[in-house]
Amino acid sequence: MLVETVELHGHIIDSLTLPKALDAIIELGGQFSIERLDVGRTRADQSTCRIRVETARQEQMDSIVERLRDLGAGVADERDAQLAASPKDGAFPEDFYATTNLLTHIRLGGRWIEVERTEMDKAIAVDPRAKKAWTVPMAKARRGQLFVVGHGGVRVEPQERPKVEEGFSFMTSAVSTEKPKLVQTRAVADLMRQARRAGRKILLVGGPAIIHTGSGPHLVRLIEGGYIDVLFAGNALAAHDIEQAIFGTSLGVSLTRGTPARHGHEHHLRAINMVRLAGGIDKAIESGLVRSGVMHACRRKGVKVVLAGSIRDDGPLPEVITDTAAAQDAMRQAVEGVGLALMIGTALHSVATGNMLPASVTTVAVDINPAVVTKLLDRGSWQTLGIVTDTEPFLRELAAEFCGSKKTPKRKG
Amino acid sequence: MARALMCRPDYYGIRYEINPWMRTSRDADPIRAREQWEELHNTLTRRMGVQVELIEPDEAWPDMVFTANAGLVVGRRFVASNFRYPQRAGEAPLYWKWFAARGYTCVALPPGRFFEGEGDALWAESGTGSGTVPQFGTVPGLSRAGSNWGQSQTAGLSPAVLVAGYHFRSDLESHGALAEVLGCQVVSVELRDKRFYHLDTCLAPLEGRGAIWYPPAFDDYAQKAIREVFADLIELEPAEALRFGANAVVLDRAAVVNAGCPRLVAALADRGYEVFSVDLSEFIKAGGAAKCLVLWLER
Repeated sequence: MLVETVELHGHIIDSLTLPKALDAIIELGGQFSIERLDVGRTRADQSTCRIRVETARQEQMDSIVERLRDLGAGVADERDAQLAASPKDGAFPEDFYATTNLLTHIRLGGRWIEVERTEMDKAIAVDPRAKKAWTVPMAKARRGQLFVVGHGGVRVEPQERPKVEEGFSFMTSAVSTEKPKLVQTRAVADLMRQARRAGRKILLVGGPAIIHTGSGPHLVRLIEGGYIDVLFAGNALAAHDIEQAIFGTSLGVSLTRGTPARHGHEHHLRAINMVRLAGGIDKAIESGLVRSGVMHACRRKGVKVVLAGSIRDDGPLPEVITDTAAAQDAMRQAVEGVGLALMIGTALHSVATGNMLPASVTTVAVDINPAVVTKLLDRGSWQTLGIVTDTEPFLRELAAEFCGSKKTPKRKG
Repeated sequence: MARALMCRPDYYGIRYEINPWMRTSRDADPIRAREQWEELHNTLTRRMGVQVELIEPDEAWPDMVFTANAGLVVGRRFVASNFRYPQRAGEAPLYWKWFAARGYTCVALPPGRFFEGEGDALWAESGTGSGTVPQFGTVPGLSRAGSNWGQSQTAGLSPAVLVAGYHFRSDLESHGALAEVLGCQVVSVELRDKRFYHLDTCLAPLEGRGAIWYPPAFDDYAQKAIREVFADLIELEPAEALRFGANAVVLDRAAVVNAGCPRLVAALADRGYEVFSVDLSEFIKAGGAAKCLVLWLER
């Protein structure tokens, strides 16, 4: 989408220049919104109107701007973005433009181009010849690469509050434990359906609480129903999921009886070790060592899984990426096309993911701890919804929304 | 007493083609042109009581005879034209000199903005009722709450509206500058028929919010805007429009129109006008008639 802002000034009301300009925009295949209209207070006063023009194609924009110039319109912000070369690998030029998570355009050679891969706290790399711009993390900057510096020629699109049914309009209010959970869960289900209809992917960022609380099977149902496309987690979720698949326990506690198993505290270590012996999670699934659980379901349904490691991890499992920069890269690649992110029972992975997502992606934060939900909501997007609840009832209800309320099949062990 | 500026057609002729009327192969007859101009001059001075001042013609600028394009006079201020075509640009310093020598404050519009004087800017009486407030069905979010629209001007400002044409000669940007300079309301109207390249070829304001006009010369928005400004519009039929019926010199209840516009004459007579028909066919060859030959200094 191309965007241009123009300003009409003069006796544009009684001369009907304004309606004429607006009609011209529509006739030439564009769309407009009026950003500001200052109507003169007396007949002698001139009026000013700031019009935002959107078109799908450059030729449409060119013809509209040409026509509007005939009508005396000036193009606002008529300045190209300033570029500077990075002096060093792994660093931006000084005065680099720091991105937001909002859709951004930069002006290059007199035209506005969209910055690809919207992501906050990055810099905008530019290829002037190809007329392309995209966000780059600091560590990935290369010496001599051109970046946008200063704020001129950069336009950030404000994110609109989602226009949604009452189901979760109230959910954007302050985080509270005192909200009807079922209604909230249904609203999330609606968001998932919307994402599906829009052809966008659904990402789930999950903490080990999903396994500990026994909600793994609910998640498995959602995965098997095809409602999850991407899974971000750490070592723990995968390790305890596999522990459960092999031993029927999570952190040594039987998920069917709720009692600690004998030498149960060793189970997750043994599970990790078995997977390492097998040569990885995939191999462990192929060999029949792991026959159920979240990882198993992901493998079966082709869900893209990124496991990012942390400093306290046991093992870790071979698939866990222990280089945080490499993990960020893998996550960054996997968020492409995501339209909805469910963040359940994990603060760190959720924050990391939230930083990568454009503001246009709806995120749902679910945690038993209100402080965690608040922290995630504070990421500054209208599109973040928080639910304070235990993960088990939430995932159970969510699975029931899609897969019926039939009993989740008993786990073995 | 009304005063106007004219220029004898001593060097008038079709030397170039900058509008569809002009054909260098069909030059004006200098003797007939002179007679026609004299008749217009006599009608204005003897029949209508206009005091006509003359500017010296210049051999290099044959179109100087069309003084209406010199600029726009408001009180003791002269807003000079920026001619679009180089064929006429040389007239500008001559007019500037004339007005400056007579104590007028000469105002230049910003360079690069074309404006051809009274040819594209005509005063109309400002309405004071709601009838002058256009309808804004197509403009979303427009509110006039708290504004003084539809009321008459505040003290010290002219109650008139300047109707200004653009597209072929003047451009719209000049209108904004004009409004700044004059502190008045400018209603800009787009011309769309190149035969009616100046506003004064297709619109002539009359007394009391009346006007003669030829609607097809304007685009739809301009037609709508004009209908808001004027309450009583005399619509020309094509034949009389092409005989430049709208290029009339109007003063109070008297008007000079080009010969051969009987319907217009009747319509004006119906409204109590004394109408003088003057044959100006030699000037039609250059795309002008009565009004083009006259610039108002005072009315």
